[in-house]
Amino acid sequence: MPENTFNTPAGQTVERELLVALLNTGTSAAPVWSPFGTGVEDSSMEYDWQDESKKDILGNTKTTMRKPIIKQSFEPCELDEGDEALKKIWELAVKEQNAAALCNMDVLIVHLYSGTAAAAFAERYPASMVKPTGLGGEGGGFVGMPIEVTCGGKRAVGTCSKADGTYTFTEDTDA
Amino acid sequence: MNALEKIREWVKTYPGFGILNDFQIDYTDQVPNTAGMFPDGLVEVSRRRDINGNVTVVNQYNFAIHYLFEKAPGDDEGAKINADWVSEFQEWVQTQSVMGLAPVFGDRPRREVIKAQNGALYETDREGTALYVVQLSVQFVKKYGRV
Repeated sequence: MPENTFNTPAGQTVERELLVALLNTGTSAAPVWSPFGTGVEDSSMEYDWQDESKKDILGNTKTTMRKPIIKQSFEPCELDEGDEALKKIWELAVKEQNAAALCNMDVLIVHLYSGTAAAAFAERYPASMVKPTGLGGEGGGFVGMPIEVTCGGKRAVGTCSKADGTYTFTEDTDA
Repeated sequence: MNALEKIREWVKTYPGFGILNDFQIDYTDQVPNTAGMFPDGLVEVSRRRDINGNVTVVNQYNFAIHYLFEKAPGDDEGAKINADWVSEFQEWVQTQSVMGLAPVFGDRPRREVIKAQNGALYETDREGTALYVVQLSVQFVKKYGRV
């Protein structure tokens, strides 16, 4: 695999909107990728490397890490007819209380700043947990449904293109 | 219809508006029972960008509305009538805004706030007129997709 490069100009920091988390609101065979986080102003992927450090009796320190568990929270996530990701989550969580389905959500993380503009680096987690943590809001405001996403399932990496707001993921075959 | 025309046409629907003979922009005739609306431009109150690059802007239009009424020096009864008219106009604006009856300027109608405030006597003259000024503000939300 060729070395990955950022496609943004040197000296110019990468804009936040070039890192996008998407939910498959279509099917596994014909995915439709809809972005998480519309209206959310601050959200980060948190990497839990399950790291551990031990010091033996000779004073040597040994550290271990595992592949990370990636979590991301989105808040307030105000309900909106135009937000396909939130609509699907609401259907499964609020209406159906379908816990099994919520633990098998297809999530795509696209790093639009990496690779090329037409083929950005992307990672797909086909059995992710998407967990709404509440539903409501203050009087005079709007109904929000904060959610937590934990990336899960067999990770697939590849490239993603974006055209007219439509994301298309292509899995690497040489992985 | 632009914002100025929209707000002017709406102000004309105030039930007490019938006592006014004229309602011009940037001008108030020196004849009793006339009014004028003085736009003070658009102020951008805030601009926020979400993690996907969508932008939400809160804007505010400001206007001063001038009302010229009869009020002879020392005319306490006339002063009371004028002050009541101005107060009732402000309450009408509040009701219209709270009840969602006011015109919409942005993309999130339920977040719009129109206020008529500080209705006060601004000046009087010896010829028996008094100028009252009400500050009118229209706060609304504009949403822009990722740019």
